Amino acid sequence: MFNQLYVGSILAEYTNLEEVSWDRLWTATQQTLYMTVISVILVFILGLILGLLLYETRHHQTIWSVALYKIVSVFVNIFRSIPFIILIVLLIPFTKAIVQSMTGPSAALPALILSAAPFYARLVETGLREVDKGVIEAAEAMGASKLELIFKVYIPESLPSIIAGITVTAISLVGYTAMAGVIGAGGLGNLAYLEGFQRNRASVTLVATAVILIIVFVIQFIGDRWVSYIDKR
Amino acid sequence: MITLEKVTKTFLNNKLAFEAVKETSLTIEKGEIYGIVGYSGAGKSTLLRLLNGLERPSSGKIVIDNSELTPLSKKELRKERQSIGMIFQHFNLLWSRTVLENVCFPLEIAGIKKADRIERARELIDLVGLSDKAEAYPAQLSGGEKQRVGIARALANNPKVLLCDEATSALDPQTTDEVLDLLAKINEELNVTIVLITHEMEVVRKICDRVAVMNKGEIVEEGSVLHVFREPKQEITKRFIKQDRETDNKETRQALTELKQAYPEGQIVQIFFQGNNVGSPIITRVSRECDCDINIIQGSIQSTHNTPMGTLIVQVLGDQDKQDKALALFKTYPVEVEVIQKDV
Repeated sequence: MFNQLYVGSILAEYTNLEEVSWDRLWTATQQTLYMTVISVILVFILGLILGLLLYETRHHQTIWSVALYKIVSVFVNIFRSIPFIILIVLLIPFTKAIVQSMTGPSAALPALILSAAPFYARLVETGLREVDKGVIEAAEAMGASKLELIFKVYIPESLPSIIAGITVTAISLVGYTAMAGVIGAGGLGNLAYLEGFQRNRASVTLVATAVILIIVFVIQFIGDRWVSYIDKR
Repeated sequence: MITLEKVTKTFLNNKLAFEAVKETSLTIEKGEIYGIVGYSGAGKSTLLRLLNGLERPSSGKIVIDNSELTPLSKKELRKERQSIGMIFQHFNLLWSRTVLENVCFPLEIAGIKKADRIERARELIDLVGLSDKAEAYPAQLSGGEKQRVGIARALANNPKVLLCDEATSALDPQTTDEVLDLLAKINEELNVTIVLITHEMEVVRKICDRVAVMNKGEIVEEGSVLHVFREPKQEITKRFIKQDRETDNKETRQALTELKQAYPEGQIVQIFFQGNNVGSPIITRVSRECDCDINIIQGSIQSTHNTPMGTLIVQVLGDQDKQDKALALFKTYPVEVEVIQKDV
């Protein structure tokens, strides 16, 4: 029965802030931010390159572009489809080889990047496809080279999609870091799992959740503001 | 200036060959405004894109200002394109750039230094009359203003040729006239050869020196605008010209019916004037010599690039003898006379 006492005890469990170690919360927050920022930067670069490759090779003109498109597209589809929690386990040997460790924030990076970059690459490709064909033709008529097209037309003209895409990707990366935390990457997910779940301290889980929400809101806010600032359409 | 020799362009679509441009030969003189008119799908768009290498010909030879396009490598072709400006139906401006930055764009591609770029771009923006909009983004401009930016951008690298792809088709009639005036001014002041494609005969009439009529991938009729307008040979050409007069005609027909009721006698005659004849007092002379009354029903002047063309619809009154005499007398003048309605 939900009598008042019962509700009170649930609230007491969530609000028992004495159980929260603020030092450890701060360390965990820093670890989450570290994983998010580094992976977002690398995903942005990698995803942009992959997205451009997908877009450029889509028209299947030569045998090389057909082959490249197939390879990139298969790579993107596979890594986008593997559930993150499985991917991170699957990549343990690979991670050990390049990071020399399988725990800690840095060890989460390969899995974070490999799973988010293909997702972001698809978003970039979609954004590029929305660039007005007429504008591309106009630039070609002026004698623009492929590189000029990429840096002066494709990227600037699809920048709102590119930024909106990285915002969405960054937010899912925050979620991934929490999952990575459960298997030893550190961060707020790790804190919520180890301190909150295993030691049965609901207040710690609640505080960790609040911090993650704040991070997500800040990312969303910055992304939205940025997009509306650059979008002159 | 521009020569096409037996140029063809075939597209492969699902292994089906489609001949967009059938063997076409064409010469366009320096400083000329050359119109290519045709319905959509006639191949005029492809023909225009062959001129700056956006489409490569399947066979034949294209020479622009003594340089042959066909054997050029991609890189050489890109260089060549910098001296061929192009404007578009939907303007194709970069929304992410201001007017000034849009005009700078082709200059960046040509590798001009930043300070020089901005100076040149400002000059061009002045030329097209948008000085106060230099910092605006395309989204803040009207259609006519966008096309002016398109023109400024196309002129940035001092092109020898300006290609216009349905440049006024997305604009309202008044804005169309403004843009056409601007093109005529550019043609005159900068001596740029202009090749334009359109489906509106009005555009051809207003600014072109010569015109080619295209149908199903072929040029079916070609000549000076005055000549083609006066003596169209092909059915399709006649249709285009008729479409240009359509609005006038509707009103005229109504006026004719009303006049027929008011003055049931006499003959209604349509007289075409051209060039210098527009000024001569033919009507009063005929009226005086034949001693008949001439009632002017409708008159209009259509301007072409260099010469005006006039149409006058009159009603010749009086007895049959006088009417016949008047008609005969009209025909002695260098005008075209057509009896459009006998006594009813």
